[in-house]
Amino acid sequence: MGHDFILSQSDGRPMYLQIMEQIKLRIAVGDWQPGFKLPSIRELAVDAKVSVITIKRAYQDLETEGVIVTQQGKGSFVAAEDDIGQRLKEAELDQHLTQVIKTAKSVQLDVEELISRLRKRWPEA
Amino acid sequence: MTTIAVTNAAAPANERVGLHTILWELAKKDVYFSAGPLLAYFALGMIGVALLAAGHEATFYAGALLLMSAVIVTGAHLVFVNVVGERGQQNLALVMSLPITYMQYSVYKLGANLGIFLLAWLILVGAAVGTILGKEGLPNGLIPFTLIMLLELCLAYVLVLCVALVMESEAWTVVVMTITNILISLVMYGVNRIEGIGQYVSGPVAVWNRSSLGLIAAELIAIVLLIAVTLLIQSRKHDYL
Amino acid sequence: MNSNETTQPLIKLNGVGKAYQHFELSDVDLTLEPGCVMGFIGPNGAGKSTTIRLIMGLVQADRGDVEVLGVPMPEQMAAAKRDIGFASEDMRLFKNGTLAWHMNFMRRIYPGWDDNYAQVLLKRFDLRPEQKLKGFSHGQRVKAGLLLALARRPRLLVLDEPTTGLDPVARKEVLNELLEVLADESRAVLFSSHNTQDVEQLSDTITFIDRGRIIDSQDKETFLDKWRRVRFRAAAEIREEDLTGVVEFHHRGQLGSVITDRFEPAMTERLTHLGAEVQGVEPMTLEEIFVAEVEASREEVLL
Repeated sequence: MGHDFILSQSDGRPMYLQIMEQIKLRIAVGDWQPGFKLPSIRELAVDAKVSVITIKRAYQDLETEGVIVTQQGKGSFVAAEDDIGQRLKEAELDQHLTQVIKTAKSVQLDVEELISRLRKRWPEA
Repeated sequence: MTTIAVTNAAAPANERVGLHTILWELAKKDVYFSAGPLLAYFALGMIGVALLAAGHEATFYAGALLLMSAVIVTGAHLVFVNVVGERGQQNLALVMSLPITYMQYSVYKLGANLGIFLLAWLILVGAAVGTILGKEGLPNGLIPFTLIMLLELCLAYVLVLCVALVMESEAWTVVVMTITNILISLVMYGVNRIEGIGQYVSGPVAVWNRSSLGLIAAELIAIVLLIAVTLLIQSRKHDYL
Repeated sequence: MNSNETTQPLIKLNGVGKAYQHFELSDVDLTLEPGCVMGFIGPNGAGKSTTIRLIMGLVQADRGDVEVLGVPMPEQMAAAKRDIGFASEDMRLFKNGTLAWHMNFMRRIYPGWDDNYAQVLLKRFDLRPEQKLKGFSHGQRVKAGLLLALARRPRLLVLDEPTTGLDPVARKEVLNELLEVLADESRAVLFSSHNTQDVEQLSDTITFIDRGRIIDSQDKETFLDKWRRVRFRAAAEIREEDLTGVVEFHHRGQLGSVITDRFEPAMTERLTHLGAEVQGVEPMTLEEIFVAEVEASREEVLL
């Protein structure tokens, strides 16, 4: 039973982050619905061709973020939250925004100038 | 007095393939990979026996030479392919990855290669003695001398086999083999000169006296001692590769 | 050896030491838990092969304890080896035998031999059973050795450089098979490799050895988390001595970087405090970590 988790070797980020991203993606697009039982850690390790500990780490961090819920002895499940996909996308947006703000500060822009730049670009993107 | 442990540690019987099976498979392997050449040497030896049986003096010596050469080359092949070669070809690591101890390896190696050699050797000894007994032209007095010399060949082989196993060195094996081969002729000359042996060689009766029997006993004891000492040394080793 | 003990470590080395004429292995502690893959890395001559030989009972330790599958090595090596699949670079199959002969040989010796799986592996590894080993290329030889070890489904796999010298396709095939082993959490794999990418991908635990000593042995994620490259920009002079946990330090012109094996947020604060602007904190690949570690330790020797 394949889950088609494929890791990119040219992606410089740690593997557990890539796994987390792929899991979040499946949740965001709705392939994995709230309450869906995730494959066991070992099963996903074999499928994604990575070590068990990488999957373990991914699952642990996902639980900390509230994306999944782990029940002792039963397994891990996608958090039963409405619009979790939406929440994940917004969390990603916030990350991007933080980056933008950092860069803006480094070229000495203030928040007003940043907002005006945003307005200018909004119709184009 | 330390006991040399040869038996396997306990394991559930239904999961276990007997030690004897593993060692037997290894012995079969030694034969399998040398079968062609061994049969060729054996054929050579039988030609030698035929020449012996022809009954003329010239063919006798040719036959004896061929016979001895066949035995010697069988021994050399066994030692160099199955003992020296195994290590040199890096097969030893493969064999030692099997569920056996080094002691068990030594026992199998000695046993199998002695066994194969003895098979050829005994047949050729039997053929030689039988020819001497059967042929009118060959005096039976030759028998003790022939037996002593053929045992000498066996002793030489056991020595080289043990050296190859213990010294783990191709160089050592070649040296000892060369020396024993050179010594054979000297030994033959020496034995012929022994009081109680040489004088009866051309006689019609096989003479078993203290000299001939004593020498044979000494050779047999030497063979047993060599094997015992080898196994003792092998049991003390703990770095195999 | 009790095959019911699925929680007992499959390999346990305790304070192991072994001295050779020009090389010494010392204070080696190593534990391999069931369900675990251990990647064993280190420069050439560091002691990987010696450690593996100790594990297989091919040599005896001068000091310390070696326990494999619950029994002491090399005293009970025969018992342990029933359930260990071993493949090594300096091990050769019999050159005059065919692969089929070898498969038959193993089948008769090991009751756990799975012939169906062996046939599957033949196809996956693209090997011809009727071919004699002397006609095999290096890659085919390596795969043949692995096939013989894997088809027995042993509880423990000890592999010395299983992917070295293999083309990318063969490597992927081998890694796939190694991972399948891990579907069973009572089994474990120890493999040494120069291919840090393989080690980084597959290992649960990384053991790093250099000059006969274990530098580090811990779970991969924690290990990778400790190492960071911090890039900074500073007009003022930043001195290496003012920082802690520095493995490598560069500062040329305005731009510089620090490699550390003990990263904490306090470090970036320290840099900022010294007048630098931290531009990035990057995780490092295992290969980068490997090189940094070894270069640093070589320098220490020179100083």
